[in-house]
Amino acid sequence: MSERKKGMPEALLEQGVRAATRAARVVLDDPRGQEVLAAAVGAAQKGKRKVEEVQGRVMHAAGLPTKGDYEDVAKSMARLKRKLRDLARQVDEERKR
Amino acid sequence: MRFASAEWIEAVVRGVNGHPDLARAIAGLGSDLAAVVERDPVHFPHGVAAWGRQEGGRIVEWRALEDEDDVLELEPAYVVRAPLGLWKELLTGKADPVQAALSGRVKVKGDLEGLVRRAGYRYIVEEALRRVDTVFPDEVKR
Repeated sequence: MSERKKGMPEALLEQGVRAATRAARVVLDDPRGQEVLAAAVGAAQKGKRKVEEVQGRVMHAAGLPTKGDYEDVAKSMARLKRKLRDLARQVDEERKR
Repeated sequence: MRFASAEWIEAVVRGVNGHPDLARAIAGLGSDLAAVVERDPVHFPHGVAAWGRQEGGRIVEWRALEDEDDVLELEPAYVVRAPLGLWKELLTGKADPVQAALSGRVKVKGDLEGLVRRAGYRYIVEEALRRVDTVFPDEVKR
């Protein structure tokens, strides 16, 4: 399949992405840049965690399940799924004997 | 070696463990990490994942997980999640892991700050990967 010729907006976007990538590369290759970026990421993550904590408390107070509750259910489901898979394998092996 | 197979993971872990800078790179990080290839109807209908645990400056335990949901049960300190195409870009050097994580293309659960701080050590994984002959499932002729 031949490559479709890119239009002006796509070409501009591609150039922009390339320029942004080069700029980010410069920041990341410099240890000071890395430190600044890491601190910013850390602050953003802490902020997000705080919001989630407050959100969780509000949801619990309203008698609604929180993100953590959903995660607990997902974990139990995953365990059950793995156990079923292990059991199915054991049954298959028994049958082969 | 087929990407994400047990023998491929073992080869990468061996390469990473053999690097003299590894202990310095992972000091202070969480104990375990899972790298997840998201569900893909053609190549990985259940997803696939690699899990590893570090102790004393090296990876002491690892496992290939045949279903990405197995990660939920393990609850690792870090979960790095991306589709096959993006893993391929990251592993072949076409995409930058830090940029991919910051832009949300790669989903990272856990202390991203700690990972960004250690971005300068990514050559350890890159060198290990270079030594492993990786065959991606979309390159295998059916």
